[in-house]
Amino acid sequence: MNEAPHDLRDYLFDELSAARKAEVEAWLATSAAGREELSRLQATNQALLSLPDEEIPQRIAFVSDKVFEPSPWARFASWLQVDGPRFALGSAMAMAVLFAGIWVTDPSLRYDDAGFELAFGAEAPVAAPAPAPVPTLSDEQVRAVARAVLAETSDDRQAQLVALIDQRGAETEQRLSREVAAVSEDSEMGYRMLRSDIEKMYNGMTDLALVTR
Amino acid sequence: MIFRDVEDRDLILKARRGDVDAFNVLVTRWERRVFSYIVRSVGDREDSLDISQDTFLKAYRGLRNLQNVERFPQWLFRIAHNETISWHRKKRPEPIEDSELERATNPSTRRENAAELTVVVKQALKSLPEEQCQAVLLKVYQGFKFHEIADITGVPVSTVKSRVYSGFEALKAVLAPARSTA
Repeated sequence: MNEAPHDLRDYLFDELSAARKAEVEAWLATSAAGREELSRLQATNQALLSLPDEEIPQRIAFVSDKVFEPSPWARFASWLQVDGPRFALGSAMAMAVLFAGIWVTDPSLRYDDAGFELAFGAEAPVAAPAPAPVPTLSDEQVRAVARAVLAETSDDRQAQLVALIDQRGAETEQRLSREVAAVSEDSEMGYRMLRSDIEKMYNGMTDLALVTR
Repeated sequence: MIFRDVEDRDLILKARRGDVDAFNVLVTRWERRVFSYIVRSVGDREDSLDISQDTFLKAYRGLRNLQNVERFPQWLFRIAHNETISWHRKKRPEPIEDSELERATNPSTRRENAAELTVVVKQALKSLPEEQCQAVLLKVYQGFKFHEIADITGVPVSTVKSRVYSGFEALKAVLAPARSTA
């Protein structure tokens, strides 16, 4: 039996070009075995196609049904993608929401050795100053510094104390002098008044004695 | 047919813009073919309905990813194919009873009526390896070209041809056995 110029299954499935199809048909005209093989292929195909279509037990749910209902975000995204102006409007709305969020939350961003820290509102922590580095001294050096500081402090304190005492002493002396003078003045005035009163009383008694005499 | 294709493209474009009714029309047009393909591969009608439902849901959600609307049928069947493959992986098909297989493959079996032929064809399809069965279904029942089946199943055209040929030869042995020369 001559070989078929092309696969008979391709011929059956209509996968050949018109030219190749013609070649196969010319070959079939001369080959009984080829016709028999093609007959079996066609019978197989017809048997397969004899299967009745399966009826759907129920219709496929439409996307308009509740089960297919898109989420609000999906609808919003779909609405945005319709045209440019809507996209621009959507972008503006998104920016407005963003700025409103910033205004409401009052965020602050801080960076220190521990890294970035984002805080919101008045509760934002105040950055603590970094501690100054402490130099390392020997014990002897520490004692020497301490002695120098104490000596300097002692001399200064004594000078300040003497100056303070001198100043307070002068002030106290002046104040006492003023008070003594005031008391003396008051005493003299009181003496004069008392004397005046005594003289008046004596004169009165004298007048009374004369009357009674 | 051309008019129908144009209408499908228009419906797809409308559905992409959120027109739910347009997609509903697409569902109505394609649900029978999709269900038929799935049920012949899966066998169980209830499971096939669920798979069909999932197929159209995924199609609706992924419609924006469809690059070429002219290839909507291949794209839709690729989703259905993948869903079917997933089903087969989750649920191993029941083994065919030896007596049924013997009956289906016995050339002397008399096919007295269409109902019996239907049973034989179903059993013969069920006896095929899954990949061959899928390829035959897409070729014979859905009429896709080899390159379209390659697009749907994600394998080279040569693999598709091999699967279709092998499957078809096995079916031929059952459904159109060679005449005995003895």
